[in-house]
Amino acid sequence: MKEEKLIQKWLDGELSAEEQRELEQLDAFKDYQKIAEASTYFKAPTFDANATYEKIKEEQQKHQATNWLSVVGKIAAILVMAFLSYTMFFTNSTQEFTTEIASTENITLPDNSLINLNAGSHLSFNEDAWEDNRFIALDGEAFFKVAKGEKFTVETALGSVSVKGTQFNVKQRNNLFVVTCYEGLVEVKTEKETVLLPAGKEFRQINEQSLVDNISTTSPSWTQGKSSFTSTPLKEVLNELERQYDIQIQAKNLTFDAHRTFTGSFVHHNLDQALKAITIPFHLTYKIEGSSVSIVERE
Amino acid sequence: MAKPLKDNVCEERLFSKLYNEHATHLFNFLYYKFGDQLQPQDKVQEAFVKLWKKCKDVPPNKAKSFLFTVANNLMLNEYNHQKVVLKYQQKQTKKVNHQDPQFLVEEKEYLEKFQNALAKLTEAQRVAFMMNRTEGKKHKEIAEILGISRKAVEKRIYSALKKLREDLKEI
Repeated sequence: MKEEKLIQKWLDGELSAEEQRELEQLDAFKDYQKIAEASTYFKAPTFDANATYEKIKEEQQKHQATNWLSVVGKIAAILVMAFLSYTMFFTNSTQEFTTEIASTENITLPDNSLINLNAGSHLSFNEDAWEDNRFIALDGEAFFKVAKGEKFTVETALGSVSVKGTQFNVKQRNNLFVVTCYEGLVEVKTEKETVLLPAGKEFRQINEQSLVDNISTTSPSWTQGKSSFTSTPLKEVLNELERQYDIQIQAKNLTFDAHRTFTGSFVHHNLDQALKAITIPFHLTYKIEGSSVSIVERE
Repeated sequence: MAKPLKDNVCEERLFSKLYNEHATHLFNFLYYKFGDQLQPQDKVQEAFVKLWKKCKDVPPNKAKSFLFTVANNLMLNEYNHQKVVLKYQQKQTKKVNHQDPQFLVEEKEYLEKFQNALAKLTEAQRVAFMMNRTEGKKHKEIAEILGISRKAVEKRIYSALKKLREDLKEI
């Protein structure tokens, strides 16, 4: 028992000098020493810790890479889908907007310019060329809040409007062409003339007669749910009414001569009120039958 | 026991610390237990990769036993209880001066006998003995690495020594 303790101490390198001498007296010690000596020959090969760690890291990255791959794959798939649907809907990258009767649409342009498109209007622009050429084709009425930048042009059938950062309204309906400038300066170009329109002025062209008038509002009334007119032919007023309410107006017996012009407004949320606002000044009466409205001269 | 600061080993720095602490011990453990026919280095690598993949489930204080258990099982999966033959190195020692042919032959014979004797030890005996004698580790360290008591380590080493002596004597 004592021998075992001694040997264990020796194995653990804990022997005192005295114990060492005691141990050396043992018969078996020479054998043990030889064994101890021999065992040093059987050292494990050096473990290449760095190389193995590199391999583990590779595996780690593969593990993470697969996760990444799936994420990247998903993103790529979404992008491809977005791109495909984009190209399918907007070939030639022409953006088109059309408003139905009784609805308006807010459009934000690539340069953060804002367009408010009135009912029954159509607007288009080329998104790709937008940076070099801020050009908009309009058929109808729209209010523009133009971000500062290069020349911004709105082209209509009756003329074009060019600006550099301003707020203005363009209305082109049939033979009516009205440009209202609320801020800055706009250039109105028609077949006959070019007019510089400062803020607070309105350019009106009706049946090739044009004039510039003052305005008192800061934004077009239609953006606040109202249509306003100044010396506008009755016919055009009724057309506008049809655009704001989903109705057909029967007005066969009316005369639409040049003297019957309307100055005033009608609201967009109450057909009865709107009709009254138009008919009373002209001594007309109206009758609503479903989506059909007949307007006749008062007896 | 204090709650460990982290509840998993997914952090790169922690993982690399665990690697530095345990990889070499693990390798030596596998080598002395199973020899090198079964590529202990690969098993170490595999065990650490497994640890990384399961890092969320392994708290740091369990990482070592996870590694040793996994690596050991990986070995056992391939192990067919063949004789474990550890290689001895022809190392240049201070005896260089008096290496007469007779001595060299004797030494070679002795090492071959020793090799066989080592193979006859139990795995537990061999691992503890080699860690002590060959790697020069103290009993306490070995106890920590193997996760057994110091008493058990002493016993294993001592019994290994006695068995080696008997085997070497017989021949």
